[in-house]
Amino acid sequence: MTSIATALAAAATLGLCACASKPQYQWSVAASRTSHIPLQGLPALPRTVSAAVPAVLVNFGDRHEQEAERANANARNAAANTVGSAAYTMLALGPVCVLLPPACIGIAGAAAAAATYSSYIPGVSQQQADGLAGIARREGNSGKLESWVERRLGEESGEFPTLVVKPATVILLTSRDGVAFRVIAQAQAFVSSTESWEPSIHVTQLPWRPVDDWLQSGGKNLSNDLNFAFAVLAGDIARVYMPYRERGK
Amino acid sequence: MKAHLLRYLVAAVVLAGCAATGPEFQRVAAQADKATVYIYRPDLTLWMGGYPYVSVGAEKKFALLNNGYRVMALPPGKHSIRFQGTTFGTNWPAAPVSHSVDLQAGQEYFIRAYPELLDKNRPLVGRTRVELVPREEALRELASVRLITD
Repeated sequence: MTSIATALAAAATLGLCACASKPQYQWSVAASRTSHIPLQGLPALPRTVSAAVPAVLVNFGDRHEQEAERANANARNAAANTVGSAAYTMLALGPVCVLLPPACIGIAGAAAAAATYSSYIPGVSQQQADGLAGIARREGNSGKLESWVERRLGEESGEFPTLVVKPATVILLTSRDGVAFRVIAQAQAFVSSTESWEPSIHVTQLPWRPVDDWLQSGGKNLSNDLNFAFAVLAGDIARVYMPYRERGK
Repeated sequence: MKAHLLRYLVAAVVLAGCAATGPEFQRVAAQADKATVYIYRPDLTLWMGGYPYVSVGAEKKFALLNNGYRVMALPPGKHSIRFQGTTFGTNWPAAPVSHSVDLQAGQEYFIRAYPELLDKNRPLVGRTRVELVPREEALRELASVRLITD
């Protein structure tokens, strides 16, 4: 069963995805709202400016409430998975349970313990969240996203068009795989003193890692990955706003 | 594991289909009072059997098959071009997307539309990427693309 499933999965993956070897993490934009931007992009290369607002951090704040919620979810999942897994194992091992009840109880117990562990969502303490927030705030307010956009679009000095890039919003996510961060960028074009376009939104997500991995070596992993995320988001922004006549140069 | 297996089976069944089989690409003469708009989809494995319908304004024009193109002569001015398919109707799981384009008479425009995954681990989660491509780049890609016939 496993080999058939593996073969099918491999065939489907080959058939459905662009042919490429699988790197550890593929940086890509996970979502965007850009369809309101004309296909021609801006009429000319813009002056890129940074919005005078700080980076927004979501989910880093009061961890007590979130930790209580997580503990409840863990307890609920653990109870359901433990009972379900033990019952399933005992049914599957029917003959063994009739002939060798102690072995059956041992195996079912091990399965239940494994099920309990598999549903466990690790926690993020307030101290860890504060450490992560410090790094995310520093990187978010560093102006790196804006400078990536400027690098992609060039440095123009005219007043219009102007592309205003907001510092990223960073959202802390937790799951049983650890901790990840969703990074959201927003850009808005001002074509003239009287015409502006609705902001475009660009989203990417960092990979899942244990919280300690993010924090080790002074938060080097988080700093590096946020920078990669900014570069990816800047690429998506530039692709949309790049004036048509400047493309392919 | 079962969930993965089911997901891939569904994807394989849903995304089986066809590609454009018409004549190879041929450039048409531009009309002085109209804009010439080529809309094409390069040959990609991703969602190769599915397709979105292309509409200009309220008018549904054609199914954008894999490795296919169509050329339209449109009046100058702003137009909204929409790409819309359905997961089980046309095997196209991406959300519908509309883009505006400002066309000038006597000019050629090359619009490339293709599927793009948003999550590399979920083969049915993606979007229709639509781009206005520079002529030289488009002509290189169009060399191997075929006309979408009715």
